[in-house]
Amino acid sequence: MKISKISKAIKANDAKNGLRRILVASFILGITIIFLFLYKHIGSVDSVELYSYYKKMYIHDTYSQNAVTAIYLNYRVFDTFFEALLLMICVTGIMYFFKEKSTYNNSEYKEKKHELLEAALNFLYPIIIVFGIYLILYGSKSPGGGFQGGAVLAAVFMSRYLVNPGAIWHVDSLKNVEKMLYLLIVSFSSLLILANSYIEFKSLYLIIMNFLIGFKVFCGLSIIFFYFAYIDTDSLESW
Amino acid sequence: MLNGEITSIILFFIGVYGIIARRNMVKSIISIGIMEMAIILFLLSVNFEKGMRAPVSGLTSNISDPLPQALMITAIIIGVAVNAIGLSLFINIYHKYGTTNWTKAAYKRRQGGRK
Amino acid sequence: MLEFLFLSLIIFAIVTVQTKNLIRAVIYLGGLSLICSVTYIMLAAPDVALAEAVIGCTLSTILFLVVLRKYRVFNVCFVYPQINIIQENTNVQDDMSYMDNANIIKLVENYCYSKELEPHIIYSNRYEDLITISYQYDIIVHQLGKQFWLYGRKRNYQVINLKAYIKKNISDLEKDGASIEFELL
Repeated sequence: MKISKISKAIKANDAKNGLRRILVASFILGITIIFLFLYKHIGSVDSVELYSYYKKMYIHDTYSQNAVTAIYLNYRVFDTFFEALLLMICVTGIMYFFKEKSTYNNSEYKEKKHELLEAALNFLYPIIIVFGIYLILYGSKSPGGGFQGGAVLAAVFMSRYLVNPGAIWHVDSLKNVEKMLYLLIVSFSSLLILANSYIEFKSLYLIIMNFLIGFKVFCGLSIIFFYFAYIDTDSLESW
Repeated sequence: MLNGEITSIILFFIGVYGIIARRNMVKSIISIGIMEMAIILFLLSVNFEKGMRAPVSGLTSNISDPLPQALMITAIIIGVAVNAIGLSLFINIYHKYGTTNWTKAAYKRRQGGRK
Repeated sequence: MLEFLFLSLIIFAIVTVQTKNLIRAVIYLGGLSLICSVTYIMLAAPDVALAEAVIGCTLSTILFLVVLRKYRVFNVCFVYPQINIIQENTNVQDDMSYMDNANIIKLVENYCYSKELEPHIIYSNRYEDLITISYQYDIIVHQLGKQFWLYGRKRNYQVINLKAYIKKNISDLEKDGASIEFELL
């Protein structure tokens, strides 16, 4: 009988895999030790001049109480452009990979309604909205800002999805809103030149830019979540 | 003994180990997430000294460096975008070859596409 | 305090990479993200900590769980013996009798549907090649005449549940005179 051959082959394969893992682990351990040794001898990089300039001048330049907001909305606003562009490209890529594969009527989940979850989330989601808007509005005075507030607002749609998974959402309009918001961000930040010469305009500029970025991030993250939640497994190419 | 830079180097190489030694696709995406966290930790702790305060509410003296913080916020958003793209690629490969294993998917691809 | 946080970061990262179960690994990644967020607060970066707590800990964990909920597979490898071995060792003449495996496959499939798993069954007669090239099956069924051998992993809790399920429903198979042996490796 050749039966014991199978269990023997499985055990030999296990041993081979374990040996490979141990080899890789010891190799990487060696590289890590070399890096730690090198790092100890090279030391860290100093950026003292830029740091002291930002430390001294950020309130005078931007009228923002939060140095981080001052940097990503005024000193380095091009970084923010490209971050928003990258999020939009990511949404486009996900739309390409799931093209015509996502449907909005999931009849199989219609019976799965948890009453306790529904009651709790119905109570919670106005609070989530208020917290998100607070983070965006006070982003120039306290920790917070457009990115974090937009992510908190995206949690609202997720909680609505948990309460009612069978509901139909119009994702297409969100896509158009996202593109419009990106154009608005680019065109509005050209007003930065104005903002640097009129003192009264500076704090208003910070708040409006935070709101635009916040809603942009909210639209992008919501679209990503809905594409993942509503993939129809049957219509995908089967193997 | 453990400071931020040393911890982040160790975390980064744990992520590299996860990518090389693990053959599951979802495990690879998780390892990329760990490497990204390590880089953020490195850049935040590279100029940090004990007793520094957060750069909010109008403080101007003895604050931590605000430049890497502003860049790292964008890095986190890009990180979740990378995760989402990776997961959508995973779903496509999974539905084409019916496996979550890199080696097996490559084997099936050499055999001539779908099975 | 900071040293303790750094140590727990390293431990969580190792556990995340080493865990076999994918859902557990995702949950550990969320915990790692949360500890990272506390570390950023200790490094005087509250903005980054807020972003990490909202996005890294919650949103990406939800994305991973949404993907993993839809794709849970139970891999079954069904091995036929090679023809010459059969002719040497058994006294069965009809080749068609080896196709008589419907009952045990149906049993495994019923188990998968009751647990909301997706059965993925591969048929083969070259067991040495299959096991060494493309491993990672949850269970391997080997048939020889009316006898079945099932090989599974000890650490896979679904396999242990399947063993109990087959023991409960074994009477259908024994009507045909089939016998089953279960081996945990």
